[in-house]
Amino acid sequence: MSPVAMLHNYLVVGAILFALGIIGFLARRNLILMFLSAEMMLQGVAINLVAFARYRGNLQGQAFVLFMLTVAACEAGIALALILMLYRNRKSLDVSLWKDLGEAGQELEDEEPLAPEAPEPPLPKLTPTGHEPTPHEPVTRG
Amino acid sequence: MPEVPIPDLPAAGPSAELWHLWLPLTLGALAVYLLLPRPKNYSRVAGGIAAGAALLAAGGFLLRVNVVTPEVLLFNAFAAIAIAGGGMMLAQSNPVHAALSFALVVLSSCGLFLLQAAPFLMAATIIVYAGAIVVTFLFVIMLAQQAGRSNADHRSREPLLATIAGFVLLGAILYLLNVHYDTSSLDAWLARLHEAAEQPTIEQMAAMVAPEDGVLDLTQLGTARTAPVGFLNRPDVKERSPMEKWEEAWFAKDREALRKVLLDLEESVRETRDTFGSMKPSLRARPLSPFAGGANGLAEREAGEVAPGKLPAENPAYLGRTLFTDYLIAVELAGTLLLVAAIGAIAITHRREEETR
Repeated sequence: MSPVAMLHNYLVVGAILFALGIIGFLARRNLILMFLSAEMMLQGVAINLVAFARYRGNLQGQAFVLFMLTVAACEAGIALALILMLYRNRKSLDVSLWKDLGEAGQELEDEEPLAPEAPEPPLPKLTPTGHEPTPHEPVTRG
Repeated sequence: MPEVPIPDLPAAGPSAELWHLWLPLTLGALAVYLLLPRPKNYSRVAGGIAAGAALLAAGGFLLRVNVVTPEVLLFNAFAAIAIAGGGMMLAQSNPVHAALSFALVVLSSCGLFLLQAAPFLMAATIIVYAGAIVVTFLFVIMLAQQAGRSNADHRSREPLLATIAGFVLLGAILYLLNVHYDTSSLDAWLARLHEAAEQPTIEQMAAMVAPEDGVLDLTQLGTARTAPVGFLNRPDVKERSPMEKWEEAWFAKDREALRKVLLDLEESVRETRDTFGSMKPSLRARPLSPFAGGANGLAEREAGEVAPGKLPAENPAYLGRTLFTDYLIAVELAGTLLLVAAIGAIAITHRREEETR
């Protein structure tokens, strides 16, 4: 296959991962999952850069991905610190609690009730193996 | 003047059928909309079928594959797993499952790195991303949400708008990818100029490139999308524009001057095509150090070597040499950034103890 066609294929994959990351960032409500979607966007960009590095035959793209990895690690550290502070304040990882930045203790309105969770499977009934000896009974063999 | 080989692109220009783009996009949007978590989920089976159909449509229509080699098969496998993992990360309501799906995305994109002659990046990404970042997030989820699933994880914020926004962006990117790499009009013009320069008489030359009364018609160079605006106005191309020189030579009926104008035009169109259409670096760009492989790496590598040094053992060596010669300042700044981020993270989360009075 020609190098340009291979480059095109990798760019398509990078674009799809980027778009999925955007959708995840906009749609999920858990702070951690929002951040993971942002990291998925970075992965899409990394695929793009490495594809161009291969196409051009030099290491520019790979060096840039290394720097991006460094920045992503720093970003993860700071983001986790901020998420921790937010969690301490409201005791939840839900991002919509911070929608209005209003007073503490506000509940969300218009929440559709969740479907009831499936009941836990009952514990299995085992046949008893024998009666336990009481402390005053002599131990009988047989 | 060296002959630059014209890459063989399969026919996929702006005039290719647009439903090649619409079908995977709409199937994907439908799949993502059905699969996003809700208090009462839509049928997961329908979402899964739509997702599978979207993947197949994307593989069939969006990719350009005309041979079946192990590299292509591996690429398809890794790409499919990466996109499926990304979709699963959107669809899972349990945050731990979603984080593990993200780890799957990272692993398959590392497989893609390996296919692109980047073994060091593969190892570094697995260690840093899948090994450190994902594990840290799993710890945070474990400590913060001991129930496993909270009220918020079953719901999505604005699923319809998010899906539309993401897929409109994806459609724009994919459309531009199809348009931007189409150099067919520039190539056709190049071929025509080359042939016209070989013609023995002025009339035959004019018949090829200037059919109307000897007026050089440069609008044939393609629509505004595939031909750059003003490339003839670059100060270093020549002192006078080709149109003026052509007119001068035409009125003088000088065949040699006409031929020279055509050859100059061909050279500038070729350089434009190389720098614009096929993403090759301009010949006037400042070259990188030899450790990085140079700016025109692809032109210098005829023997199929895809990266400097022998893979995979020498890839970290060349990468290290590049980092410390071409990108030295960036490396120092990255180190400073890491230090500042570590200090910042500690400073942000430091519990301030209340002073007891």
